[in-house]
Amino acid sequence: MKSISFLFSLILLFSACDIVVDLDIPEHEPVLVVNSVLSIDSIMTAHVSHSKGAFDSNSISFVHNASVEVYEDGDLLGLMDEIAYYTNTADIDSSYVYHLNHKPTASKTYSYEIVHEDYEAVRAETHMPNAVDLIVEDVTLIEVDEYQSQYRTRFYFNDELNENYYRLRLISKSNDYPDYPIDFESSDASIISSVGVESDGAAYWGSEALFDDELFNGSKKEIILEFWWKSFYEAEYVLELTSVSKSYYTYIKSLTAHYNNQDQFLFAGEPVQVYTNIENGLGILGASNTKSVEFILPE
Amino acid sequence: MKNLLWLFGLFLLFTSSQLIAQKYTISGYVEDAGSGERMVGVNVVVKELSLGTTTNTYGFYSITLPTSSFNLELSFIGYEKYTIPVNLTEDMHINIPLVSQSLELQEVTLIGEESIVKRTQSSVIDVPVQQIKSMPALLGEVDVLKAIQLLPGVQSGSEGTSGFYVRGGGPDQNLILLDGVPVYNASHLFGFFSVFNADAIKNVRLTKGGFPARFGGRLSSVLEIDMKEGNTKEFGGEGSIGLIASKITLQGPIIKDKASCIISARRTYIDALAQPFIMAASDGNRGGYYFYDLNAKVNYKISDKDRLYWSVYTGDDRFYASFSDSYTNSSDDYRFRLGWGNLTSSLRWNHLFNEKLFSNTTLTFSEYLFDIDMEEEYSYNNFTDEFEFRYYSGIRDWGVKMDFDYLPNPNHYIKFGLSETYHTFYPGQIDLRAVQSEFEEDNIDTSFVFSQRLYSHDAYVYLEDDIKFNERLKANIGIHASLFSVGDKKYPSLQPRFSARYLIDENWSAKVSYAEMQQNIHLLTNSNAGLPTDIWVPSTEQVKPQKSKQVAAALTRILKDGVYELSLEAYYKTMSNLITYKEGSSFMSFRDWQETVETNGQGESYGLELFLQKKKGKTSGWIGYTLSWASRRFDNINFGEWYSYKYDRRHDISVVLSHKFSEYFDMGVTWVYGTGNAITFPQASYLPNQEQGVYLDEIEYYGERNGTRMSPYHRLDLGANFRKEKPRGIRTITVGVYNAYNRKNPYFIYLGNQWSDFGLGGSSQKVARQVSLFPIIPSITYNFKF
Repeated sequence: MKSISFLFSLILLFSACDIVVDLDIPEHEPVLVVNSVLSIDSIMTAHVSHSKGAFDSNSISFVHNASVEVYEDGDLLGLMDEIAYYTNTADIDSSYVYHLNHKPTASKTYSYEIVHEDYEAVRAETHMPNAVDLIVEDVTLIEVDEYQSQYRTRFYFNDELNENYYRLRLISKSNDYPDYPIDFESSDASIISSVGVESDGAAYWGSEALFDDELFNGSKKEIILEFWWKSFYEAEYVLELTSVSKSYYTYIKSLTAHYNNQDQFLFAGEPVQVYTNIENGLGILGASNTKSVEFILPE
Repeated sequence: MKNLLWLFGLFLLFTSSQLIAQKYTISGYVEDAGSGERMVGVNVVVKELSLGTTTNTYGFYSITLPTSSFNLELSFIGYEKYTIPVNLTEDMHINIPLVSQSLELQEVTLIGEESIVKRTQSSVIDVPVQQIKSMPALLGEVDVLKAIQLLPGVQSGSEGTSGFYVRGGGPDQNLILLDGVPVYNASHLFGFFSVFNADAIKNVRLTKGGFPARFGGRLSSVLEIDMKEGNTKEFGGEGSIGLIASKITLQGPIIKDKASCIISARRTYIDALAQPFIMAASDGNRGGYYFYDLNAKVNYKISDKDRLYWSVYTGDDRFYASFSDSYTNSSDDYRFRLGWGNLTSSLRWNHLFNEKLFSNTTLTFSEYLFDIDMEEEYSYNNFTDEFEFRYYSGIRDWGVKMDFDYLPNPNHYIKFGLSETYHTFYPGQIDLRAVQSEFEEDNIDTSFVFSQRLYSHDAYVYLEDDIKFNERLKANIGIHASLFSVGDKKYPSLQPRFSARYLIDENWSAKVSYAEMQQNIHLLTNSNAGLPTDIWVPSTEQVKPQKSKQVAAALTRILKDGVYELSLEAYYKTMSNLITYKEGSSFMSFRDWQETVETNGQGESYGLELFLQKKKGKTSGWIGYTLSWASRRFDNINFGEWYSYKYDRRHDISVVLSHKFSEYFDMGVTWVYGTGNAITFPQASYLPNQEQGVYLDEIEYYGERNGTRMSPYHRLDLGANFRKEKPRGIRTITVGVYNAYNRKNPYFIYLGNQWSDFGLGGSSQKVARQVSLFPIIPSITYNFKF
């Protein structure tokens, strides 16, 4: 496909003219941008910045001195503080976040109300899903060669009877690489239909599979993965299943589509509007709840 | 005695009423006296009885009249009027040859020979091929579809492309028929030229609304293109040599006055001309592009009642490139081919059952295929790795149809018929083969079928009647009934059609029309240019047929004894079950196509079309103006709100003029203006939440879909023809200028950067950058005719 783009570009190069034009687009009034993904095992943090007009070449900065109120099931939990990730980078805007020393709880609804004198107030809400236990049934060594080994793992979980969304990862944890994602392959119908690959001999290949429970709602779900791996370090292997909120799931899907649509020249699809659940603003307030299980690779 | 008188009176009454009721039919064919070509739309009139008709697509006419003596008069602009005295006492069959006033310099006219005021249908335009050939053209290549774009109610797409959009409809909503066979992709070179060679064409007619019942399968228009049949009297030919392509057309009798053929071919030679330069600049690597068209037609008159036609069209576009690299211990050979093309054929049989009943039976075949082929062979040490990738998609049709014309009397012209088409859709398949001789265990040889082949039956029957109620009121009333079946799913449809004309006086008429249409196949397109990657797909269980309802009303007027014709037409059209690619999806999405589309879309369009044309005199042409709105709505696009259709063009103006200075010199000028296309352009940007696998610094926010307008499009083209008679024929040199004042019309716009200084202290500013395609382009073409 890149050859097509290249050839077509050649034609246009010989004939095209590229000039700067005045384009009549609506004046953009910057709004607050909130990026926050709540996790059961972490304190609550939110990165608050602002949008800028399409022709604004300035960099985007962190919005200081915003009032970020956090609610749990409608009750005020508190006001977030502004902190720097690392004190030695406190002069870099990207190192700041707002945080509240509180860890979210499953099955509760969390909302933010953010006010700043320079922007319209924003509000967002998300629901923390329940995590599901993973049971690894077996891990089998299929094949060994000089460079790597092929493994197959079979595991299952029980899905609750309502709309649920999941993210699956396979990770190698070692001292040098504490969170190293491993690519895996799966022909599971739910995974490949969510990714968008026809289930006809094709399979999903990647390090993070995002899928919903439309095909197995309320049932026991078994998944088989295969992966090729050669570990040079002593490591533990972890299968991680994260339950994510619907808004976060939609956000990741639209962000991925938006990303994949970049730089496609005339072969691009229609522009993708990235999902947001921030009222009067942009960004995402999502929630995730992870359960993981360690397993050992057979010799 | 009284009884005798009474009986005699009764006898007189009986016989006189029988005499009054006695009617007979005159029928026959009208053809060009010089070539034998059957003529369409010739007026056949009996002034004494104020009755008349016109010849049909095959040059056939039939008129039923009371027994009497009268003059049968035939007229067609550019031909001498033909009058024949008739004493009608029985059914008669009269074939009539019309003599051209001048072979080369016929006065051109825009619409069909029946006056625009008297024609029942509104929303129909006949474009004489001679008019098309006299228009200034891009790189000297006359183009049927580009001429269509100059008509009111018809929008062009992107700069320079041949795609057309009729009354707010999409590019797939136009049924393009070449000798009755659908053509699925009518574009060469990304839409810069169409596949139709004007030298092989006899007739072009566009119907935009008020569709008669015989048409179906598309929502927005029917473009009928009829090929010439071939001169049955003598051999002849014409051709041209242009800047990028040459063409030749040869025609002549196989058996004089009985059978003839015509062959027409066109090919570009950019690749041949550029090849030495490409090889010199790239160390021997090859690459190029070409397209060709080949039309052929044979017609055979079996008898006065039967005639056979066989026509075929084939055309292809081909991109190709090959690279070779050699190193000390290895070599790499790479070949790439990209192509698309059509193959269509029709076999038609005209049969005259009797003077009142004419039939045409057609067998059709049409295929469109797009494919990409990449091969690589990499040799190193004693190993050779091979890689082959092939992607292809297409559509294939087999069809049969029967059409009947029945003219029981001058007040009724009945058409009825049936059709069945068997479609095969193959919306996307990849064949992949990878051989690594060193690592045989990793070899691949497989096919990925992202969208299964689909088969469907598309059948319809129709009945329509063109009724003359009285001298002022005529109507065309019909019904089109179709059944589309794919798998276990069936989609029946009843589509009423109606159009009427009221003659206010000899110079004024008012018209109204209503049509319901259903379209069972769809074109998935998201290309900004006329890319061949658009995919035809059928309606399925998930994806329903598109539907439309259109109402139109028109006022028409002729001025100065028919020298000028003026039409003001308003229309309103609604569409349902539209489909479009989901955000971010394209033909490169490796999924079943049904997973990549948004369905149940709605469309609405309305507008006003003003059309003034001059048909006679040394100066001829037209001015067209369209004021229109077109919008769309999908549940998951633009937050479910209505948004401007991409080709929503508020104002569209076309001025087409030609002036004949002498027998040997004429000039043409074309000026077009259109409101800029609607685009989705970033309104803002912001920071993303960091996610695995997504490497973005900022996300663009787009606001309303198609909420931004490119700058208006306008362009002036000039052309001149210099003719000279030569011993063996006529030669014409055509010079032209495309985009005479070098307007930088927008092709597409993107968010880019402008650097103020490329040095260390330089900075960039985000700006809107516009890509334009065609600057001022002169052309010269050598034409010959013998």
